[in-house]
Amino acid sequence: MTEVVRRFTSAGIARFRQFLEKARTDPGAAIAQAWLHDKANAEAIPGLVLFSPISGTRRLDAAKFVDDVLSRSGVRASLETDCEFWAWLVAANFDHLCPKDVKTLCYRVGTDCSYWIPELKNYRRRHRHRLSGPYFAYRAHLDDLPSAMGVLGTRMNEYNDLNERVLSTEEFQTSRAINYVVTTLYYSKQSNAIKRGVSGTGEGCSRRLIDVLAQFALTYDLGALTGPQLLAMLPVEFDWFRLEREVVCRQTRKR
Amino acid sequence: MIRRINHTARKRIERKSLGIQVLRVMPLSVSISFDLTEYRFPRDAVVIIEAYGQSRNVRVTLGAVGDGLITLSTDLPQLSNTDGFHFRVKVIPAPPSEPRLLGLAEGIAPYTDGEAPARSLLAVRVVELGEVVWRVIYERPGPVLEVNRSLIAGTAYLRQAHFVALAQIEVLRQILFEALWRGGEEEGADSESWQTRWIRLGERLAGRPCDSDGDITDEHRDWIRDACEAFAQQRGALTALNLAETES
Repeated sequence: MTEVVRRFTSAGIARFRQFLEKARTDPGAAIAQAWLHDKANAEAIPGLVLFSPISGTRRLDAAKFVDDVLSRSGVRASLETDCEFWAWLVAANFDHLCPKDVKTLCYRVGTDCSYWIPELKNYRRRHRHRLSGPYFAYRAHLDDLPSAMGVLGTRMNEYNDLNERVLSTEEFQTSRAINYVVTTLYYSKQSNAIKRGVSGTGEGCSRRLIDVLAQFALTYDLGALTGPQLLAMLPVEFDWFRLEREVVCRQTRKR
Repeated sequence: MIRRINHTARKRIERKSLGIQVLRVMPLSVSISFDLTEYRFPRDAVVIIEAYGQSRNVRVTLGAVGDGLITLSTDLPQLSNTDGFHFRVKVIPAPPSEPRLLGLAEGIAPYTDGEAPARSLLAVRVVELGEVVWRVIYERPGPVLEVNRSLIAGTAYLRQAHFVALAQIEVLRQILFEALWRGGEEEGADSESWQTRWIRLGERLAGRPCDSDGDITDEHRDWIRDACEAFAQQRGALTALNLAETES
């Protein structure tokens, strides 16, 4: 089934905002396909169609989906900065990108709209968008994706503390070495997921890593360091996560 | 007041030493004219320039410092535009030494072809703010005034008498306070830091210098108040507001 890709009009954005507001508390809130395709709410992007809806479960899958759409568009540069396009694409795949709370049955929309309607000019928030965030990380690390799994390997309908810490600092977001370190420390290749106990401020945890890296950035040109070089510079507290033994680590640390 | 002390011996490269001009023809290219003579970097040290923004970071190695005068042009084919981009300049030792920063300049807004080399003190950005009309946020290059995207008058509202009288002065007050609180004067200070430029503006308005060292005292608060009052006086804030009320 093919579908024409669209971008919201200002009326469409307003309606999407209303929906997000309602979805926070109303389990019955849903996006009607009719208004996603209504001319008053969305205008077609000529010649651009979706051959299939978004699939997969990880942020990497979301990024690949968007990359495929943009590569077929022929106007990648202009769509990359088009907030209304990103918002429509999220709305069209909303059930896939936004989980529902098991108790309230409401969408877990949150209070920050930038997860759904991107703020592309705000470097502190633009990475939060459920599609543009993974996409820009994917493009930045296209030639070494295995090293970026720390930020791309998580579930596409989640946004965790590690994503926020790494992606909210522009220098870190695009740094090969830092993404290598994040992936090596915190991403489990066995379970294809972030290791347990990563979030937090404790020894070796993600916030501590960002503090240490910020300190390094004052002294070193991080762009000139390779991932293994940077990893070797980290203090011993990060040895907890260096090997795939997080469960043991957590038990040991609790004692 | 936060004081940051540079223990790393890296030198802060001042803006006046760095000429970066973006030429807006495709592919984008940047014309570079650096004068690094005063910093006395080793001749074989390497100069690197990074264009960053919009989740991208384009890194170009310019070569050795040599005599300190660097003039060249380089293409940035990875970028389709430089809106929102800033530049970072780094000087590091020549390999195989570890890449310890010898010199650094960050948050440099480029000049574009045909543009006079002047910089705005306050960037304005239209964003989603819910029911909040405006707010000031602080980024590395300086403060940004964010205005609600849903505001019917848009950024034109910033020039209206209501905003000038009721908000612009508060914006000035907030930023002057933040500039003093953050300090931002590192050892080997960059005279072009945003804090320095705003404090200079405050000094011009208040008509007296401000000692930005140490904690914020009542004297600093008085200085901010005087700067704001002078600003309101310059703008004729109350008169303009009354006039606007009368006309409406």
